[in-house]
Amino acid sequence: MSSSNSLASWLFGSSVVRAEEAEEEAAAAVEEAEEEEEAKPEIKVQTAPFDARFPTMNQTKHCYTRYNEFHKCVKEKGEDCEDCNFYARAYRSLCPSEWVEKWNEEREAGNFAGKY
Amino acid sequence: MVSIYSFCFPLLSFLLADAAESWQVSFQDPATPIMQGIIDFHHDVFGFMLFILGFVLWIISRTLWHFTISESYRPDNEVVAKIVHNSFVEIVWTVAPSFMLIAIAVPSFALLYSMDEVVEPSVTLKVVGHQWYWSYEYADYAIDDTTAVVYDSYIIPEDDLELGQLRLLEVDSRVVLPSNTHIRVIVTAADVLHSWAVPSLGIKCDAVPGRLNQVSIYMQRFGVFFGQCSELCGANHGFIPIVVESVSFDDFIIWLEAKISEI
Repeated sequence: MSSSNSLASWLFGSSVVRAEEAEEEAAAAVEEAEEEEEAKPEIKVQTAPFDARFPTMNQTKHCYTRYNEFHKCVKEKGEDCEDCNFYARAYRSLCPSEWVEKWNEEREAGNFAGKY
Repeated sequence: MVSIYSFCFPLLSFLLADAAESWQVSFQDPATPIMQGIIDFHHDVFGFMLFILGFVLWIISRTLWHFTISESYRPDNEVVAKIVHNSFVEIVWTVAPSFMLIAIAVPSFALLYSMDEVVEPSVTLKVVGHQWYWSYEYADYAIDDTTAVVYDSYIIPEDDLELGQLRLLEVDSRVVLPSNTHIRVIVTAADVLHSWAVPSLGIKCDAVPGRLNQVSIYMQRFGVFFGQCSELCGANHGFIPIVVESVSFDDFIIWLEAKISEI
């Protein structure tokens, strides 16, 4: 753990390591953390990455695509697959919460217009 | 929210306010490389404009002086009587302005394309315009669809202002962002058109319902930056200010952690 911390501090700077530790405490406070694993999850300071499919200012399709990719991943790989977390974090970062709520309600009602 | 700078703002607000000032003519102090680029480009173009203005005024006044009726009938005034056409002059006054336009276009396009440069952001801020308030979302660390940091930002009415605060510019909940970090800002609206504008950061981005507009900012210093809604949106369009507070990354994490624990 200390070696990964020192690697993280070399890569990202000591403030980021402290930020990670602060974030880990915050994440643990929010979740009812059953995952008290020996290795704490490394939370990097990150957000939805730049997507070359959407290089311009209009990111509407980017948000919608990430949301659909998440549900496509869930359908193909199952609900608990870790790979889908990337798409989940991406659409949560990009899409306004009202949009996500509306789409989730449409899914529950069977009215969602997307493919998955 | 009490910021760490709030103790000094009432005393030093004339120093620290990156906000509109009375009788202001120039730009607000820049805090991002884009705004600095805009100011530099403005200086470039203004220099050319002053040169062109001086040159044109000189030529017009000389022309008016030489071509008055009394001057043109003077027998010794050969210049006036003989000027009927001149191809060389016509070529010069077509080519020289085109060179000037190129000289103006080069820094213009350099700035324009530099604003589109893609840098991987570290933080995403979502801005949603409503009638008549802004709401901000920090969802990078959301565990599920409902645990993002979301809050509304209303103007502080004039009656509730404290000493040193700025009228029509202060809000109850500021946008806190880390300095020296690439930040992606996604702007949208929930009802009608708005526009999220912060002059010190060089940002003015229309908030369109049903559309996500992206701008990127990189604040190079700490500070508190003020802006106002810039697209007519109803009766209280003039009363939806924006306040961005740039703090160190550590302070940003502490603030975000406190916000997350409030969810």
